[in-house]
Amino acid sequence: MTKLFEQAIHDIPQDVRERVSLNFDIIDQISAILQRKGMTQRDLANLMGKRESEISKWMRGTHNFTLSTISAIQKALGEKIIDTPLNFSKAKK
Amino acid sequence: MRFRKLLFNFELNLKVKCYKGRLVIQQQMPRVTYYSFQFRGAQLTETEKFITRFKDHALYGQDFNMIMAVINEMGRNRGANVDYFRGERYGEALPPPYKSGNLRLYCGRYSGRIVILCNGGVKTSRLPENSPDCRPHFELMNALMKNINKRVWERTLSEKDGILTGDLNFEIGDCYD
Repeated sequence: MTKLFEQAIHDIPQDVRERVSLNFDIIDQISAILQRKGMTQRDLANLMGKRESEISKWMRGTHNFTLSTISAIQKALGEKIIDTPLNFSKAKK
Repeated sequence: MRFRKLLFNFELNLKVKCYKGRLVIQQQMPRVTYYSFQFRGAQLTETEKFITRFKDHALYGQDFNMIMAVINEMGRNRGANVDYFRGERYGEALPPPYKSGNLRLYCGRYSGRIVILCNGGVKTSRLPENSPDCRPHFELMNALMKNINKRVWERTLSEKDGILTGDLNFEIGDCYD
């Protein structure tokens, strides 16, 4: 086996790694909420008036979530999917 | 006479779909082992060919990095969660490819710990079958996953501790020797 794959992984720019990691944090949070509520991606699609295929596209890791989309998802699910450390520490007090 | 038969069969294999090769471990990562398909006699795996072609590409380099970052994130931290691979048509035989922009890397999810990577290209139409750069890789991935599923059903291929065990050699399609 050549080192091509290893080198390609090594050469991923840090900003791209962080963006993808954030994407997956959001995806995993959405999945966790859906699972807890006994909902499917199709249910989420219906709530948001979208096709299931569009929700599937969000869950791949490369989708560029806008704040507008995140707000719409939060509204549909009835709870936050992202928050800030500042809000978290305020909530703890 | 024998030479003529060999030449005839070689030309026939080019015209019909014949895939001869094997699955090899491309990279073992903490949460996912990635396999790739290597054609018999080829120096590079199909995924290495994809990397050679698109890494540092003037137009698609950024999309390439996004795809590799997804592979890395799943491999190191997340695993091959089924939610990441759910198709646009639920229950379709072939999971969706890794994609960024118009760049596609075709893959198959074997389990939460094993993913088969193949090759890919630039999608220029709605269906991969109609994109010349994607079509051969889409067809190979499709044929390969069908054969893998068949072997799982026949119990000639299985997983143990995140590694495939069994027959990893494939001759798929109408192959003539």
